[in-house]
Amino acid sequence: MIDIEGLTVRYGSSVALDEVSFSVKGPAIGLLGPNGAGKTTLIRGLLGFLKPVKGTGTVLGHGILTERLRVRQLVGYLPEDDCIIPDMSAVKFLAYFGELCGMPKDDATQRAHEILHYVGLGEARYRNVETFSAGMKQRIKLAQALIHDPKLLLLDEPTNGMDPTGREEMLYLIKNISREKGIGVLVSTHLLPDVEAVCDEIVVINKGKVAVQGDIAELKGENRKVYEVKVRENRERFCEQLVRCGYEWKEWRDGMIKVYVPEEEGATKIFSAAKDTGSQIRHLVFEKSSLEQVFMHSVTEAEEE
Amino acid sequence: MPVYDQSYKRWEGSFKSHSFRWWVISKYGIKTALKKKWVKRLLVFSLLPFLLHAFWVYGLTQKGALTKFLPPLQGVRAIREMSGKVYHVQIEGAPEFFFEELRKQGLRSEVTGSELKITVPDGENSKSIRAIAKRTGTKITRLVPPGVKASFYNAYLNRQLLFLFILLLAVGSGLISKDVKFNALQIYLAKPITAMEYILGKLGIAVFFSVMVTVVPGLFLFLIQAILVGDSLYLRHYWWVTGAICGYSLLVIFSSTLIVLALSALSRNARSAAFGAAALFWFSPMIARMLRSWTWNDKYLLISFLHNCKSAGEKIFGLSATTDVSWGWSFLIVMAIMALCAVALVRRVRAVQVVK
Repeated sequence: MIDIEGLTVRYGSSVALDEVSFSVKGPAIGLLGPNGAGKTTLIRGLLGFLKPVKGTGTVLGHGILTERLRVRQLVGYLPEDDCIIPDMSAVKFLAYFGELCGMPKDDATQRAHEILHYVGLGEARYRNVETFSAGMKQRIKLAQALIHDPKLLLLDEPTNGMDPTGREEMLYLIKNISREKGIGVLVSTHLLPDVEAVCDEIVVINKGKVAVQGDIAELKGENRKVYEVKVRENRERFCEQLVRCGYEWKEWRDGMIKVYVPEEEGATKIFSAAKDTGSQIRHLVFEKSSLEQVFMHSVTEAEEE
Repeated sequence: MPVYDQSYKRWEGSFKSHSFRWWVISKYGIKTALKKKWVKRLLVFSLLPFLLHAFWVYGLTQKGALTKFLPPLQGVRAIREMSGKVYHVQIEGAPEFFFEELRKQGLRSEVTGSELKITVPDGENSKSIRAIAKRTGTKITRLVPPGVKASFYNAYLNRQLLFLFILLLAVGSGLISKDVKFNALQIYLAKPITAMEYILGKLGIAVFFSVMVTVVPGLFLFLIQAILVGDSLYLRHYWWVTGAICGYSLLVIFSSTLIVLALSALSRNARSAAFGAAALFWFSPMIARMLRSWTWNDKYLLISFLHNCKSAGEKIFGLSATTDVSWGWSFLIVMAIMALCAVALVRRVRAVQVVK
């Protein structure tokens, strides 16, 4: 769906994206990162709003530098900021953008009504868009992104400024679009629960670089258990024994290690490994991995590097 | 199954070709502006000079008919006797029987230098002169139909500039600034249109209203005169006036719309843009005139946008210059302003403004 190769974008002297490379298939991708990490810049780069200093990429098989208009024809964009045209009713606003995308006038008007119903603005379709509340403005932005029936939606902070009910509804719509309507979705946010609710795949960006990328379930280690272990004496031999048992391990903070154990197994083999290598287990905690931990770990790791 | 499925539906239709997408922006903009009462009133009000000029043209071409509505005073009778269309004719030689035939047919003639002025009564045209020439075997080498001077149309368009500028300030100053203010540029440019098409679309709105108060009434006035003269020779002889009307109007329209749009793109506030444009349209001529009156130097008139437009207009209409400043300089300045505005527009109309 999106392939990026060495994309570098600068704002004057500061580097916003530093040789970003990734490839995602979708259908629902979460673009995570702390504030100022470069998420919005990446989306703008995909749409061809910004000219990269280096690198290239494709969206749905079309070059982001060479086929900008084709990319925009296939992509719907929900920007982070409030974007409206004053003195225009919601239905006109949508029909206008439908026509701008090349839809015949009647089709654009009919589809505007349908989309407004779909996003929950059916009752407010004749109201001027500048009178909308923050939540309604998010919905109308989603509607304008959907008007030309895109194959991919780029959503930049789609639940920004929405109340809990509105947020739930928005997430439901995004989920519905990606799972049941066959439209790819790239959700850029720093709200991890939003991504967990909607996406299958994530790309974490930190300081303009890809910190981690992959399937959420895999990154969370949902198909295996994770133990936080601290041992005294013969630590290296203990770790070697774990590998011999077929377990993966990783250094963790305060001299602890993380041991990844297949789901059907318990901690028995860890104890056996300690016994065999003459190590003392001083700390053993079963850890339920969350996306937040994956995110924090990847961001911290990137910062340490 | 629900009666009406309100869930998301895929669109099965096909998109139109990419060309003329900018027209969608123009079309919506024109419709939106025309919904405003004051825009309609302004358009109607701008027709008043047209009506006055049309009446003037009628009076010039139909003096005789006009006198029928006046009391039969001596002066009015004189006008009626003098009425008719004056053709400027050059013939080979001066055969007496040609003049005699003219007198017989009721056509007055007067020799001025190498030219012959023949007055044809209202309702007749150059065909009468040609018929007499044919009957008498006289060769006509030149036949110029009656016409209103080019300065008449130039003056008319100069008067319309007031309406043009007012309309542009009212309609054009918010065209881009509102999109900048409400962040609409990024949704426009996320759709399959280029920044150039966006600018073209906005330009289309301003140009539409400008054309409605300059080119359209100007050409219509010319058409009225052509009809009232009632001679196809008029169109053949004065067709260039239509070119001058269009040329001068388009020069003023494109320069002033580009100024208004560029200022609109540079500001988030429509009023600021309008104020900036007003300063250029009206304050620059005031300053130029003040400097000229202090220094007795016509070159200061080049500061005035209005003077530069009018100076270029005089050249387009083939009139002699009213000041010592070369029209070429004026034309160059107008072109430079247009280029500057185009650059400002291209630089400002972007989905993302990068602050360096």
